[in-house]
Amino acid sequence: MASVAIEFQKKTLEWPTEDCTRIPNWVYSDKDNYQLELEKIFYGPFWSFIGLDCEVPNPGDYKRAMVGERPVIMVRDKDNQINVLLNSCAHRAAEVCLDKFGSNRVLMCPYHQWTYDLKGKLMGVPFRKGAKGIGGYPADFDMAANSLKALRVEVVNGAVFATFDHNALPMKDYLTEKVYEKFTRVFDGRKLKVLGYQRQRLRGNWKLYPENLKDSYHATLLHVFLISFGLYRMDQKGNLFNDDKTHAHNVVESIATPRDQLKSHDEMRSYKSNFELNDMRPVTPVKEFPDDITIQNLTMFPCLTVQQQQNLLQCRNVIPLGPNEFELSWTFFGYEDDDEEMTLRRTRLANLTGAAGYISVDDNEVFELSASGMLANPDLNCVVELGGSSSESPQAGEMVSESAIRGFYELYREVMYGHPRP
Amino acid sequence: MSENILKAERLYATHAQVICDNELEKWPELYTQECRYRLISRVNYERNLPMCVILAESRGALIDRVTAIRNTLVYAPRYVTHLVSNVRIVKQDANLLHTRSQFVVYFTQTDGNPRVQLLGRSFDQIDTSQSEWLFAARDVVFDNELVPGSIVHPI
Repeated sequence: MASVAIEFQKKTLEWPTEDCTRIPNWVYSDKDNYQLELEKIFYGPFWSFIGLDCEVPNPGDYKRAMVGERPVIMVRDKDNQINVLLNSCAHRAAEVCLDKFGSNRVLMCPYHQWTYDLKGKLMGVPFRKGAKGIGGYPADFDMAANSLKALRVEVVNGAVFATFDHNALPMKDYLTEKVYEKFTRVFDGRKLKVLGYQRQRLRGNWKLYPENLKDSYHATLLHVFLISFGLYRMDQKGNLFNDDKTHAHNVVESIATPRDQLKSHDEMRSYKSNFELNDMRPVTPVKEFPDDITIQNLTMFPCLTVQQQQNLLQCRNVIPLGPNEFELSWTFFGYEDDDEEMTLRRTRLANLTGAAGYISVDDNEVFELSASGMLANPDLNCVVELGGSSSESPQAGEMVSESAIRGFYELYREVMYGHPRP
Repeated sequence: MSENILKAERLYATHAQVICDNELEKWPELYTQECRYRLISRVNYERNLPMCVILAESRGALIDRVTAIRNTLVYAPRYVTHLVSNVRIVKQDANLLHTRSQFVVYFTQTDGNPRVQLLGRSFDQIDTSQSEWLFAARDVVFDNELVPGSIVHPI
């Protein structure tokens, strides 16, 4: 409908503010805007998280994944390289790999058995020379031109990323030094081990998820579990920063007060815990990393979060399912050299997160509340003014700021509409 | 044997009832003190991956979950309905019955149509040493690839 497109064009020129202290609700629901996001962001020069290379340990092992709305295959080839290929046969577009996980010497489309090698190169088509000498493909049929589309891949210490844009920056430049350093604090080069998956379908726009992880404002207000059970202090130390270049990759890190200090501290009286846990095991971590950081949320543009919550390590990947729904895909992992006790500890801590998580339920429920409001009121704006109007990293120690969300939208507007940065 | 299956079915029915009637405080009472409760996806279960949606290793942990549901979790109001069927006794030890069942859980939010929250199978152990039977262990394994929304109530 042309009128919708025109309306949309008009809207994009009318971001309500020069800076990103306002976000118009329509960016969370507009269908045309969503199509543009797929094209400019998900299929543009930005990296999508695909999985961990330990999920495909041997040549021939593959796993299905998504980039935007496009199914892809992560496969390890005979040279031990990880390839990410479009999971769509060059012939009739059918999905080539149907199993979530699998292993094979070649990739064969179930429809007409077009067969590809593990790098995606088309190796064979049945009846190429016809049947009984009659028919078949033309003599000049170009096999090489009909391979599975290969994405550009980069593996950072076991974490696999892919992009359709072969000009995308290498991951280290993409994240920038400061954020890359935090990324490789968790992905530190040790071999990884997957501990399990969770997948949720949430009703809301995909951007709500990374924004929530960039938002340090809600943590002590919404998540009362830890406070109510006396496991968290409001004044704990921490650090928020955005990458220097785009401001769209962000890190929130904090240092939990040790449990014994937590109980004896006078200030805690005002936040007196109302409840006590009968079983402390789900909230009993051990120090694992060289520094004292107990929670690190790293959000990478567009929508991957890597979280260390004490000993609980997860990738939370967001896969858009249209403008008003997204998949939240959790990959829980540890290190190959974890002993059984550490694996059990990570598993226990996971009670805090995921589909029934003591913390995550709160977030996932409020997305749906925001989404209903945004959908019904596209002409209104969100207010993102906490900590000022800029997207520079807040000053040291300032733990309550929305600068990271503003940073996301400064890059977003530039990529989507060519809007100059403020 | 037929008496056992009736008694096992009754325990499953009570379990569903206290959740659907929103009498969650009675839910932990259906478990032994040292019980183990896991809510886990079929994918993780079949690939032998330990990560669960819920892992509780004592009745106390189940009480903690009820305390959180009642007092700390933020969620939109909903009704839940559990349908449990095909309760079978798989194996019988001196004081332990190994059982399994199949289930569907629907949830209905304000202004919304009922939706399937989870469906799948459970693999359980029932402590039969006392006159009142209790769950000693439950592995609740759901088929859902994608779980719609959040799982607030126990399954």
